[in-house]
Amino acid sequence: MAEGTVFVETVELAPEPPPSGPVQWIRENLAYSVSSTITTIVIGLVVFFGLRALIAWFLNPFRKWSAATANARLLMVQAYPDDQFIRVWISVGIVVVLAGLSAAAWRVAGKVSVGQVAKGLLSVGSGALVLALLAPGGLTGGRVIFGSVGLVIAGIGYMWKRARKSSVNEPVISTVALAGLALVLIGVFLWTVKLPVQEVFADGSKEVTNQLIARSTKLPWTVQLLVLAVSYLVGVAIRDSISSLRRILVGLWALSFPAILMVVMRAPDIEWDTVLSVDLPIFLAIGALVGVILYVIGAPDAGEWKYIVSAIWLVLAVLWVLFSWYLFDPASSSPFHFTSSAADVLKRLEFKFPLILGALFALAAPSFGGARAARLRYIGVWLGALVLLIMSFRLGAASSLLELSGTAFVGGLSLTFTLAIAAIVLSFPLGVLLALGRASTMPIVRMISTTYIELVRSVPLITWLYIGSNLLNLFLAGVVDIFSVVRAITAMTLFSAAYLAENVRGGLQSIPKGQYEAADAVGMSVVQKTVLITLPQALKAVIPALVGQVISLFKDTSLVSIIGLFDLLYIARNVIPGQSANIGSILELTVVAAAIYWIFTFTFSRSSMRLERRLGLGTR
Amino acid sequence: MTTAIQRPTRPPFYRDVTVLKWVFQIVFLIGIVTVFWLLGSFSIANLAKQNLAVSWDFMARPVGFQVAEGFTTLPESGFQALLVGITNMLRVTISGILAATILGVIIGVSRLSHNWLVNKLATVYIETIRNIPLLVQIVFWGIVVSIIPDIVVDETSDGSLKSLFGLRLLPEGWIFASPKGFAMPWLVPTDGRWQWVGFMIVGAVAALYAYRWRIRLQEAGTAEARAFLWSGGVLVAFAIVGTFAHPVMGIFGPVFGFVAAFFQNTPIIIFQIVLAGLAVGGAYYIIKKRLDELRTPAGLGKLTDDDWFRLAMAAVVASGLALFFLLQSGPVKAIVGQGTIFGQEIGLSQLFTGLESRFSFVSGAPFDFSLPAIDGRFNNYAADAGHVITRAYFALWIGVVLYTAAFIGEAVRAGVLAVPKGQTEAGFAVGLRRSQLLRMIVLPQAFRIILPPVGNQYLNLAKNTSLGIAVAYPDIVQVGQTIFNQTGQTIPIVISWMAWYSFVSLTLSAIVNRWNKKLKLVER
Amino acid sequence: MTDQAIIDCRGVKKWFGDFQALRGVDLEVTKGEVVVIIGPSGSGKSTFIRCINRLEVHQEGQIFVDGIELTNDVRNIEAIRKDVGMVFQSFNLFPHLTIMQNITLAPIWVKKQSKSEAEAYGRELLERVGIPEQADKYPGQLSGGQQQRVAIARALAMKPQIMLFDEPTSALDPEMVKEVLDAMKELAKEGMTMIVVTHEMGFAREVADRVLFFDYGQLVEAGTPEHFFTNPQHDRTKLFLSQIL
Repeated sequence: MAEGTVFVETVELAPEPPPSGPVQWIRENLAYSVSSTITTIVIGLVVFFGLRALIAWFLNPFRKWSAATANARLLMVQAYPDDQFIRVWISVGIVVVLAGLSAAAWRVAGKVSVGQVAKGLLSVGSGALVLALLAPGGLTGGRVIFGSVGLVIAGIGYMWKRARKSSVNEPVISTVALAGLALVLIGVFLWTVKLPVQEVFADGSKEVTNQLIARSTKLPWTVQLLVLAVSYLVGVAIRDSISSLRRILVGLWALSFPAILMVVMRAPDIEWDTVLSVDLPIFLAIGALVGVILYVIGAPDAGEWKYIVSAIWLVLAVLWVLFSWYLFDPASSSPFHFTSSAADVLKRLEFKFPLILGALFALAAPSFGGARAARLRYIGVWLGALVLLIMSFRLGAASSLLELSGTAFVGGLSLTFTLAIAAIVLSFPLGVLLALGRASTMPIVRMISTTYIELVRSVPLITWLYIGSNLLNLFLAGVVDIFSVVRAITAMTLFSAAYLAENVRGGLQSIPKGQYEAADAVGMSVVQKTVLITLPQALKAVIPALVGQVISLFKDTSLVSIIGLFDLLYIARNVIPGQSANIGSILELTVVAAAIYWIFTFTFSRSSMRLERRLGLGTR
Repeated sequence: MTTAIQRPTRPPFYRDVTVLKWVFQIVFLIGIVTVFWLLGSFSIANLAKQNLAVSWDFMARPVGFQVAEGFTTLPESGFQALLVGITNMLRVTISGILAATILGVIIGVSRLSHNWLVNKLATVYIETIRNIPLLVQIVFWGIVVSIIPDIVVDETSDGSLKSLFGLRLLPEGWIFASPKGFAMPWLVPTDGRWQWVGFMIVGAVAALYAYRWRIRLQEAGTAEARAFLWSGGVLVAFAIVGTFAHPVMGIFGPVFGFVAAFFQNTPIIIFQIVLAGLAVGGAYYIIKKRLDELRTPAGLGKLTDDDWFRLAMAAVVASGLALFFLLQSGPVKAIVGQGTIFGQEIGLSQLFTGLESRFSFVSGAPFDFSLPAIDGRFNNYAADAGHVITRAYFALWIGVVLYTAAFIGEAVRAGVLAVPKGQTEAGFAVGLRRSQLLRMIVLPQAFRIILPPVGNQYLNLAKNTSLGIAVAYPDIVQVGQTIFNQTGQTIPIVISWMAWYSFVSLTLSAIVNRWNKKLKLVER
Repeated sequence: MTDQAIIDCRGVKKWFGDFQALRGVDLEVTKGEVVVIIGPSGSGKSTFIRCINRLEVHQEGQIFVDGIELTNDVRNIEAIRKDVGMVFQSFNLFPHLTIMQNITLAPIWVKKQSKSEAEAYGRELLERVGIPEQADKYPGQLSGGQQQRVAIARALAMKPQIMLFDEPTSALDPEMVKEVLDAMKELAKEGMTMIVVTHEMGFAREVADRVLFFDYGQLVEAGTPEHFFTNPQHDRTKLFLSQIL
């Protein structure tokens, strides 16, 4: 054909928008074929009646939701003494301050497009509207209010979304502004929404009344919200001037947990006389002695004797601890007879453990010593570790100033968190060591690590908790009367370490062989290779798996209710329904406990997904 | 240029890498052994203070408690009580794995559905179930059952019953629901069931051959396979014929009797020698295989220190086992059935004697149809009528099934998504229909990816059944705990738990690994 | 052992399970010499140079580096690894560390130099390999050629007497090969003792003092580049050269 055919006159036409609108959406997502239409209708009916029944159940006046709201404090911290309750708020405050600073330091603030916000409003509003329409019963005031609020929110969202389409540049909103708005809203809720609260009168009688969200917590929470905002702003102000802010914060986070648990919440009765007369001399003597040894051993030209001396030192120190702990109790003639209390044992061991720590530092000294500055820095690390060790002995041996009705100063949700955090933190070093052991080239070490990991993993956690609560006292009874929470933490730590080891092993396997060879080729020692090359890469690779493990450990803490610890589930299931006012509320309380677990686990898994995406975008 | 090659000079031992490596390992081993020795002697000392010594006597002695459910509720000995716990655990595990797999696949497929409603429903399900601790869910289901209104026996009209469920659709009295659980009609096995099961084993072999035969026909191009249809048909035919013809299996009774007598009457020393020989032979085989791997045409390759260690380990373990079998006749006797273990006669001989008595031309249907019934003052379900799902069983079962199904669903979804899109396109390009594409291209590939995580979930399910203790379901943990509350024998109970769960884990992971390997081989 | 021989191998044998990778290799390398090893894949040439800094453990025979024998002795292994630098085919830079940290890691922790001293020398080395501006980047942000030059700098940071190159250009895109070879030529000119496993015949011809041909775990033929490329003696060598040239 000689002549060309022109199909369009102008080529600069604006692109046509794809077909959209509610009908189009339904045609694409709900009714794209006959079978899909039938499925939609059937499932829709099931959902309709299911939701209706569920709402009816929740709104039924016979439901005793007040059992949960009236006992909110019991669920959160069990029976923490009223006159000391400020300690709980300080603990929350510490976490809030660190959270605010961290949010600033890690620059979590981002931008959200208006479209996303509008879409969020639309779905929240229409969800509320659907719920209001679905609820069984007549045209009550509550339904009208709920429904119309939903309608308004959905309407705003829809209009906004429509309006956005016409504009060319997509406008964005800062997430900080949104978070600020959310904080203000929460504040307003604190001061306006009423919930049933149990009131105890002077004569001991109790009554449940509708009040603002627990009057006693209204002000503290408001303060916490303000503290959060202020600490974020402070963080923004200082993040550019303090270069190592992130590293400092990581250290503070690590310290915050033991500090909150052992100092703030437990209120230890520290005997300052003993600190001055025993701890300080021990610290100075051992600190200085080992410091000098480290200085000599860490010198680059020290010979092989340094390893031999430190190894013998370690073996002797371990033997000394074992024998002074187990065999030669001065108070008794027979080697297996013990009368001392936990505090006594801790006191007797307090300068022997530092010797073990010193030996470990000496063994690693050739790897991390070197020039004068490096050696001095290493000695600084040693002194810091020594202070922490002696302090933890002192705090562990000190009695608590609290007057408690039960045995534990943590209970309810605070116990749940204590167990989860303690187990994951303590199992971390053990798990890493096990993983290294399983990946090691030494067959005996490998065999022992593998046996441990596989044995622990094949037996369910509840069994380990029973073993912890029965055998641990059998092993150590008389020497140390281990407190039930500590037994549970021990069992969970040993359990979690095996799973953690498997995760870390995955990370170790992901490191290419060339990395080890390159480290060998420049002459690194095994310790240097592990600390400087292997672990940083392995741990970074398994962060998502580790977060997953934290989540499952958090859920697993509920098992301690079976061995009678007062965690969230135990209080919800056994304590509150046992109160005379709340008999028959067990189903409601179990649902509330489930909801609390759900909120934390869901939030956690969502943020881990975000973290994963962020890591994926990193330097790798 | 030609300098003499000498033997490498040996460094002093404290600088020799190999020496240091083994010294470290031996010190480490001694350390671990010491710690365990200390803990062990310590607990023995502490037990002695409570006038207790570690003893397995409770296994043979009668226990003073009832078990809530199981093949017997009045165990004769501690051993039998634990056995009831084990069977109860297996009951939940096996039925749970089946149900969770079906539900999980449905959830996973729904998550992939284009239908918005189905998709969102599955998402909501997964996000709800996964983020609530399983224990809370089990407790929840237990409470839900416990608030069902109790059955009311109408005294006036001759004990006719009122209960909650299903009465409109089913004849009165077929299904009951009460705080004690559920009761429904069931096929109750009779004495003939063993022969029928034996018949079905033959049927299964026949079905396998039918399957292979049909596949061969398809490959030969003579007929379409329909292999599943055929093998299923064979199985059904055997089941039906077996209902009437199962007494035929009685011919095996004498065979089992002969085997039982063989184990009973052969002098024990022969079994000891055979077992010791097996141990030595096994070690010989392992060592030889290893050496053969290292052998080259030019002679033996160099053995590293790890090789030496491995060979020495095999030799030491084998000779230890052989010595044990030769010197200790007790365990061998127990295994073949000439002696007792924990006061129980549970050896091979007893096994075959039991089989002999069960294969003895019993006639009649292997299963009887039976309706549930109510008896007793507290409106309990009658034990031998219909099938009773107790509250504890239901709560535990529904809990683990819903929980595991959520995780299986995610694994299924991930597996299907992991099959490259190009595979689907290539399938369409060679003209496969959508169903063929799924069956022949997508599913086989997805299956390989899905299997390992799902196998892991099966293991988790088996372990999670131990949470039944929260609703007093008598599995091995709950029964064991009752025993040690009564006898104070913590250590033997703990050892039993570990032994049982390790056994379950090893078995399950062995099965999954085997499957995995098979699928991988098919791929290459 | 002659006085100037810095590397002396006698009858080195090595097995992987039942596979014998080295069947008795004898080799002396004098100080300042550049030796290029060629040969088909699987001929044991990589295994051989990996034995020289004990990434692989030889099972029979002796290896002396700078008069120190490679044995199980930890002291000797430490000493030799400080003295021998190595560059790998796949770079093996540490991905979690910056370029500068990659270079200064070993001087600081192994040689116990101060950080400032190590960084000053590190900067000098980056200058020498021509990428001074990349010091604060991560390896993932660099091209293959740049990464390999960093790897050379990392090895040089230990001030080694000997450099081993294990197919340094095989994993590179063709346009990046030259920059790496240039850096190596520079090094050779400065008098570094080098053993290079490579397929770059141009490099061998231009820089090598001696070319070795490996096959079946044996040293088959050795000679100056002119002799080697113009007049090979052994049939295997002829066949190999005819296939690659």
